Formats: sequence, structure tokens, C-alpha cells
Amino acid sequence: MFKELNPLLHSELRLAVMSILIGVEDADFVFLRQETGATAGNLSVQLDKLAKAGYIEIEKGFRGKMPRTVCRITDAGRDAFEEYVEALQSYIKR
Amino acid sequence: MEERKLDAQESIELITRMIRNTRQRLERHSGRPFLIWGYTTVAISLLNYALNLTGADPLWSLTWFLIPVLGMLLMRLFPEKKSTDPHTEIDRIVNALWLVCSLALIPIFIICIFHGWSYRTSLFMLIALVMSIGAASTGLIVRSKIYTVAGFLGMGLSVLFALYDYALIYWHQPDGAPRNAMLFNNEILIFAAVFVIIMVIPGHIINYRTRHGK
Repeated sequence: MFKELNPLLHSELRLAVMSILIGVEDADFVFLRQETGATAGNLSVQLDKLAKAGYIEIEKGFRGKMPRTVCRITDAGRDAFEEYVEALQSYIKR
Repeated sequence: MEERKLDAQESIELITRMIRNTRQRLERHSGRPFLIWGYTTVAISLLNYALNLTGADPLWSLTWFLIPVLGMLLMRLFPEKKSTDPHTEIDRIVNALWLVCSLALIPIFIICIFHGWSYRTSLFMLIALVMSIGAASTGLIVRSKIYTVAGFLGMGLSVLFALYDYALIYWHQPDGAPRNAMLFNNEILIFAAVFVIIMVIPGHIINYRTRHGK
């Protein structure tokens, strides 16, 4: 019996973002864009989807005079990521 | 990268790649805090050494408290260069470690002031030792040989204070009084030298390497 893969995480860009955030305290929007190679618009949309699901927190602020968006994973996001990896393992072990 | 569905194998590969790329950025190569705190401590030490040499009023020794004031001021005046690198668990651990080392200086001051009435403890030796422990631990945490070696060297050099005190016994007069009370003043030079070794030199090396991408 295969576990169902979380459709919110089973997308290339959202999974990449979650994989980065799982290993850090927080990450800058610019850093996420550089690492994933996504466009700003697309990344922004995907981050909003993750935030609406409660998987990440988005904090908008300033560094000096420059606007800065910082993202961090939530406990719910961490749990969802772990469940997703467990589900993936059941597919791979098949 | 698009919003496309992946198969299980692709998902695992993507997760592995992203985690690996982020881990490679875990070490924050910045010598800035080491240079600011190192140079501030050395400058104030040399100032106090000179004041003692010129026989200035003992109240001038309050200038030692300029170290935290100037250090914090300079940290604000010269903030970290804009970087998009993420904050990692390692950053949090290193910050917590230095917070503990800095707070440890408060009981050290109190111990040295009150012990001083009956028993002379070496304030310089204790501060140098705690800061060396901080540098060595930072080096081990961020896997930096420079900070690790400098920290352990500083821990070793802290012994110099005791050796110097021991040597002073041989310079005492027959009645036990020191030949020259100013000889104690030289401890400040040892203190400054330890800070050059544990903070100033490693800070410059790390900054040089960062600038030249080594």
C-alpha cells in the first residue's frame, strides 16, 4: 500500500524551496531564487501557496533601506516534509 | 525551475541536491567580529599600559570598560556586508557560544574585584582563557583551522600570565616587595599579544581568503 504524496509538496519548485528551508533557520527570497533558478513571479506565487498551507512563514522587512523577504519553515511544514519523504521511500522500496 | 510534477526518484534527487547545495554554504566566512573585538581590546590595552607607565590616576583604569562600549558601537557602524546567505543552525550556535563567553566576563570581573582583597587572581588570564575557548570552539563548529589553531594557541599562551607572575618572585627584594610594581603592568602587553593571536591575525587571514575566494 503506497502512501499518497502530498500534492502541495509534489511540485518541483515548492519541493526545492522546502528542501532548502528544512536545513536552515531562515532564508532570503533572493537566496531562494538563486538556488532554485526560478523567476521572481513564479517563486512568489509558490511561496504564497506554502504559506497559506501553514508550511512556511514569510516575514517582510527591510535591511537598511532595501526591502527584504525572509522565509522560514514552520513545525507543520517540517512534519509535512517528513511525511512526504516517508511516502517517497515507500515508492522507492517497491 | 517550474511547477511540474516529479516522479519519486526525481523528488529524492531534488531534495538531496538542494540540501547539499545549502550545506556547502553553512560556513559564514567573516573575520569582521574578530577584527573589531580584537583591535578594540588591543587598543584599550595599550592605552592602559601607557597610562600606567605615565603614572596616571588609577581612575583611568575605568577606560577598560570602553572595550564593550566601543566594540558594540563599531559592530553597529560596520555591519555585515549585505548577503543573501541564509541563517543556519551553525550561525545560531556560534552566536549563542559568544553570548555565553561574553556573559562569563561578568562573574570574572566580580570574582577578581572581591578576591582581590585577600587573594590576587589574574583578570587578564581568565579573560584571555575564556575568549580563547570561544575562538577554538568557533573554529571547531565552523570547521575553520585558523580559528581552531588560534584558539588553542591562546589557551596555551594564557599560561604565560602565571609563568610571568612566577618569574616576578625572583625579582622581589628580600623583604618580599616587588623591585618595581610597574613590572605587573607588563601583563597588559601579554594580554594584548594574546588578542592579536586569537582574534586579529585569524580575522585578517579569514577576510583575505574570503576576498580572494580561497
